[in-house]
This record gives sequence, C-alpha cells and structure tokens, in this order.
Amino acid sequence: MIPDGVGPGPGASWVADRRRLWVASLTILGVLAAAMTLLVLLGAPTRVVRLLPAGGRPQGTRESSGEQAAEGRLARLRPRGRYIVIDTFHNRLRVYDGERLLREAVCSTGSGTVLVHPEGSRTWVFDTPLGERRVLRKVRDPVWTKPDWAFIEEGFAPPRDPGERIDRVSLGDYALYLGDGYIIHGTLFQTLLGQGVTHGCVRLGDADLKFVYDTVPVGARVYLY
Amino acid sequence: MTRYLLALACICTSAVGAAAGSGPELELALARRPGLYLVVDPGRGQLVVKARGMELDRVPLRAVELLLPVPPAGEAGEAEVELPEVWRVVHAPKEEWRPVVAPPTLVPYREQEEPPVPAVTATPEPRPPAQYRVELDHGWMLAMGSNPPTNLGRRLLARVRTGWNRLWGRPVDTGPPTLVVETSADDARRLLHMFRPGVSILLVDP
Repeated sequence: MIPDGVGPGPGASWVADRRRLWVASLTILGVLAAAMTLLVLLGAPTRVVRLLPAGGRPQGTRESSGEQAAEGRLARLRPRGRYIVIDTFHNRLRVYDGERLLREAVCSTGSGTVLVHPEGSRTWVFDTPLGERRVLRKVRDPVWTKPDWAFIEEGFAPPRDPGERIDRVSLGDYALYLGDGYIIHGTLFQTLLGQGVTHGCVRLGDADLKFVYDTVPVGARVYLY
Repeated sequence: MTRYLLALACICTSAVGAAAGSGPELELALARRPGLYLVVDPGRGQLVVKARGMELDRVPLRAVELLLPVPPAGEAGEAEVELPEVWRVVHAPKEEWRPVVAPPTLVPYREQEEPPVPAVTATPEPRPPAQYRVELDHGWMLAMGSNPPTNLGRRLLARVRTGWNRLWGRPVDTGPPTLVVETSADDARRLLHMFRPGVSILLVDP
C-alpha cells in the first residue's frame, strides 16, 4: 500500500512521455518509409549505362587500318594556308598559317542580348555565328549602313532618310566581311575588348586589325566556336 | 561495351551516317560540312569541338552515361531504345540567362539627340547555367553539366515523383532516353552557346 503523499513523481511521467514520443516518431517514420517504398515501386525505373569512367581506350592506342585511312582523309579537309580561328567564349582571335600560329589577339564577340521591338513584331539576337565562314571581301575605311536594330536599341525609330544611316567611324580603319552582315572590324570601344559586347560582329584593336587585314587573304576560312 | 549496347538497343544510322562504320568514318561525313560538330569520346574522357576535322577546343569529361527509361513493372516488355551514332541538336537550351533590351516606345531619330534608351556599351557578363538540357533528334535528350541526373538521389526523387503520379492515375512521363555528359561547371558554361540547332554530336564507341 502506497502511503499518502507518495506516488509516481514527475520523473516517471516524463519517462512515459518520452517513450510515447519515441513510439510515435518510429510509427511515423515507418509509415513514411512504407509510403516511399510504395511510390518507388510504382515509379518509372531507369537504367544507367556507364560509358565513362570505364576501361576506356587510352591515348596512343593503335587504330585499325580503316580508321587510319579515315583519319588521313580527315586531315585533307583541314584548312591550308592562312585562316582565322575565333573563340567566342574567351573572346580570342588567332591567325594561323597551316599549323603555325601567327598572332593571337583579344577581340569582342556577340553579347547574346535579345532586342525586342516595342510592337513585339521583331526580335534580334546578338550572337556571333558559329562554324566555318570565308573572308568574302576586305575594305579599307569601311562605311557602315546602320540597320534598323542600331536605332531601335537606343529607342529611336529607324530614319526614313538613308543618309542618316551612314556611319563612317564605328567600323574603324579596316573591315573583313564574312557574309550575312557579319564583319571583323575595328572599334571605338577599345577598353571593352575581351568582353562579349557586340551585336554579332568581331571587333579588334587597331594594331591587331591591321595585322589581320594585311595577312589574311580574301577567301581565307574563318572558324568560329 | 558495343555488344552490351547491341543487346540493349538496336543501332540505327542517321542520314549522316550513310557511310556508317567506325568513328573516323562517321566524322568524315560531318567534317565535309562547314558547321561545327562535337565529338564525345568516353574512351579518352574528352569532348572535342571540331570543324573540318580540325580540333578547335577540348573539354575533359568526368562521366558519360546513358539514362534509359524502363517501363514500370506490369507493363509488357522492355522498351527498345534506338542508339544513334550521330545526333543533331533540335532546340538550344533554355535561354533565360540572356539579357533583354526592350524599349517601350520609339521616338523619331535625331542625330544629335541623346538616345532615350542608353546604348548598350557594356552588358554585365551573363551567368550561363552550369546544368542544362538540350533536345536532340531521334527522341533523345542531352544533359550537360556538373550535377548529372544519373546520381542516385535524383533518380530516386524522379522515381518517387512518377510513382506519385501513377498512384493518382495521372500519366507517367518516363522521360526520353538521355545522353548524360558530366563536366565541371565552368566547362559546361563554356560549351552552352555551341548547342545551337543543327550542330551534330558524335558519340565515339569506347
């Protein structure tokens, strides 16, 4: 018989509460685990085929004769003579003569900006094109006929008078035309060289531009990536 | 590896691969065109950017995997996945990172007047994503970046999501077969702009 005034103290109640909390937590976790298992079983499985890392073919592995022949034919497609390679991510232009690097220059290429006409009817994306192009013509003291976007991006309506589109300064001293309106040319913004700030053209500093103009012939290939 | 893939899928040649055979022969067909193409070489752990057979850039790869859907239990058969030797990019990755210039109105042009919209002289360098998906032809997808969808946690989550949809009778999207290429974040950003419609991707047999 328990004397008056003596009974299960607050400690015993606390232990019981903790035990109940544990049981409840484990029950909830168990239910969640069961639910997750059910969902995983119902879900769409996928299979992974690992190609790398694997016991791959190390560098210098001998190729078959067929592969060697194909490599030979590939080599004949590569450019000969002088050509240009433009890295549009790092904004670098390189001039080669065969495998020999003649000059590396800092340039500016397309900003990737999207221009939207206020009426929403037209958009322009200022990317430098990728792939292979050719130098179609070279011009000294080039004149730029500003297209519509050159006005719209500043908030102006394109002028009706064609004379107001003529710009004799912005392209610099030389221009090499690549087709579709893309040009390698000079710039008034020399401090921005090395950044992607153009409307798709490739801008060079004065000395590099003169070198490219003097060195690279019409018809030379230009590789942009 | 080749035998395993043949057992898993049927290899079909694309129109480019008319002279199908080894990697160099397939590459020859791509190199005859003036565009860029990308060569994914798991054997050497690299992705090479090329044009006319000439290497323009090279990126080291951490992993190259194929993520293939399998019909859930209860559905007949295992889906046959056609593994092309060459893919073409159909759509570029989503481009929310591009800055947009949108003047609200246009005013008549006056040469000496200050432009109502300041000329874009130095855009803040856009921060392209380090993880993105590219839609390819033949019903495939390319997942590029530093956080591939093939890691166990992401696959488990995807499976829970589809299981939840199936539980409620909603359509279950198993997703397209995916070529997963894991690179560093910087390399993924560097390659992003190259995935333009028409660019070819050649997977070299490891």
